[in-house]
Amino acid sequence: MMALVTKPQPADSAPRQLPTDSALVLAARAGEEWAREALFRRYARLAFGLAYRILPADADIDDLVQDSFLYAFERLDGLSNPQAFQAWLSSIVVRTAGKRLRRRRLQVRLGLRSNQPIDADEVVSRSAPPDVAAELRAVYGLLEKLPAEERVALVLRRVERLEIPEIAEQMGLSVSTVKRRLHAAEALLTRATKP
Amino acid sequence: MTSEPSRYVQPDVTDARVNRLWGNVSARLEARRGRVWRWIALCGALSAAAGGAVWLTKAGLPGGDAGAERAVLADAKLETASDALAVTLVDGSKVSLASRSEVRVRGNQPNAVALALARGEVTCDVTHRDKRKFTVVAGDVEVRVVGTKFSVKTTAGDNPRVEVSVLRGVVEVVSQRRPGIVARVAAGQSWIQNPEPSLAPAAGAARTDAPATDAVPTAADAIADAKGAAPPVTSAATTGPSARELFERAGESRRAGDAAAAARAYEELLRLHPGDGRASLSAFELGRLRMDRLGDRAGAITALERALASNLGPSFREDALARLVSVYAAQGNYAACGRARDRYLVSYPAGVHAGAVATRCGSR
Repeated sequence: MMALVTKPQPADSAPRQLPTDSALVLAARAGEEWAREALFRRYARLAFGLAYRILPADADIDDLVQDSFLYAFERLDGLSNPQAFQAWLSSIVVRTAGKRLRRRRLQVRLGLRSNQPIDADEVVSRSAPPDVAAELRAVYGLLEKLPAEERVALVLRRVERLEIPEIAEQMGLSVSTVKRRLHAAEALLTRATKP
Repeated sequence: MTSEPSRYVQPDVTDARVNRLWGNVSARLEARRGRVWRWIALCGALSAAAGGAVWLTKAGLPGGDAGAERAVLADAKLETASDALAVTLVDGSKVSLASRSEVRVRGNQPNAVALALARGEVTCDVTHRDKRKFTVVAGDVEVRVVGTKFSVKTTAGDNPRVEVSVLRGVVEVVSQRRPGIVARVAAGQSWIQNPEPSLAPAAGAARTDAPATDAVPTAADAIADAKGAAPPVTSAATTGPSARELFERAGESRRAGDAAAAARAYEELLRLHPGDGRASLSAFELGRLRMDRLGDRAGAITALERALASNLGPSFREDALARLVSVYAAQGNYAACGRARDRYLVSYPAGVHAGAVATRCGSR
C-alpha cells in the first residue's frame, strides 16, 4: 500500500510509463496532492468534452467540471475499483449535468432565467462528415425541447455512442427507464428529421 | 469514420483553462478541508466552554437567569487549566483563552469592554463598533482596539513579557514604560515588550524592550504563493531579522548582482522563519541562485526539493520541477532525474517544459 502512494519511479532503461489510474487514485486517497492534480490533468479534457456535449450552451461549464472533480476527489474512498476512475468520473459529470439541467429548467419555468437555444452549427465541427454533421445538428436542434433525462440519454446514445446498459450505468437509472427515455427522445428526433 | 460523433463536438479547452480550473479545484478542496477543521475546532471550543464553565468564577453571580452570559462575564475571572475556553462578549466580540491562562473581565458593556490578562494568552476577534472602547491590559501594557483580531500573550508576575500579535485590522499599544508613545500594530505584525533587564529572569531573556514603534512585521507584503492566507506570525522574528527584512535584503542583493549575498539572506530566512509565507518562494529562489549562479548543484537540489515540499504556488512549481530534472541530469543522477521527470510529466503533461523534460534523463 505504501509503495503505491509514492511518486512514480520508472526504471531508467525501460520506456517511460505514466502511473496507472489505480496508482493515482490510491495515492490521492492517501492525501497526495500531486496525484489529485495528475488525475485532474489526465481527465480534465474528457470531463470538459462530456459536459460540453450535454450542455453546449451552458456558460457555467467550468463550474460543472469543477464540481464534478470536487465531488470525485471527496468521495474517492467510495470508488471500489480504482482503475475505473475514468468511467466513474464520467458518470459523475453526467449526473451533475443532469442536475444542472433540471435546475435550469425550473429556473426557466419560474422566470428566473431565459432559455438559451443551442446553435447547432456552432456546436458541430465543420470538419464533421456530412452524414455525421446532419445527425448531430438534428440532435442538438432538438435537445432544448427534451426533458433532462431524455436529453442526457439521447446525447449519450447518439453522440457518445454508448450502449443502453452503459447509459443506465452512467445515469444511475435502470435499463428499462433508459429505454423509455430513449424511445421518447428518438421518436421526437425522427419526427424532427422527417422531410 | 462515423463511429465517434463525439469528436466533432468538442469544446475549446486550452492549457490555461485547465490550469485555472485546477487552481480553483485545489483551492476549493483546501477550503473544504479548512471548513472541516473549523467544525472540529468549533466542537472543541464548545466542549472547552462547557468544561471551562467549571473554572468560571464570579462574585454574586445570578444563576440561571436569561442574562446569565452577560452577567457572568461582567467582572468575571476566566481561567483555564489544560483546556482552552471561548466566550462571546456582550458586544459580539469573541474571546478565546489559551490553556493555562487567566483573564479578568473588568468591563463588558456594549460601548466599553476591558480585559486584563494576568497570564497566558488571549485572542480577541473584535467586532467593529463606533465609539466602543475595547482594551486589553497585560502588565503595564494596554492594547486598544477598534475592530480587529489579535492576541495578547504574557507571562505571570509583576514584570511580564508581553507580546501582541495582530491577525486583522490595527491595534494601538501603549506601555507605561514609554508614556505618551502609542504604537500602531497592523495585521501581520507583532509588538513585544520583554521584562525589564533588572527584573528579568536570567534564562530566556532574549533582548531588552522592543521600542513601542518597533513592531515586527511578518506578513505585510503579499506573496503570490500565499493563496490569500496570512503567513503565521512567528516569535522567531524577535530573535533576528524579520522574514520581510531578509526577503527584501535578498532581492536587493540579487538586483546588485551579488548572488552569494542573496543566497545567504534566503538561507537565513529559511533558518529563522521556516513557517513564514515567504519560505517556499525563498527556497525556490535559493535553488535558482545555487543552480544558475553559484554552481552548487547539490545545494540547488536541496532547496528545490524543499520548495516543492512546501506550499509553492503553481506558477513556480512547474518551473521548480523542470529545474530539478535539469540539475539531476547535470549531476548524472539518472535515477533521481527519471523520478523528477515523471513527477513533472504527470503534473504538466502539456507543460511548457514537457518537451525538454521528456528527453532529459537519457535512456541509460
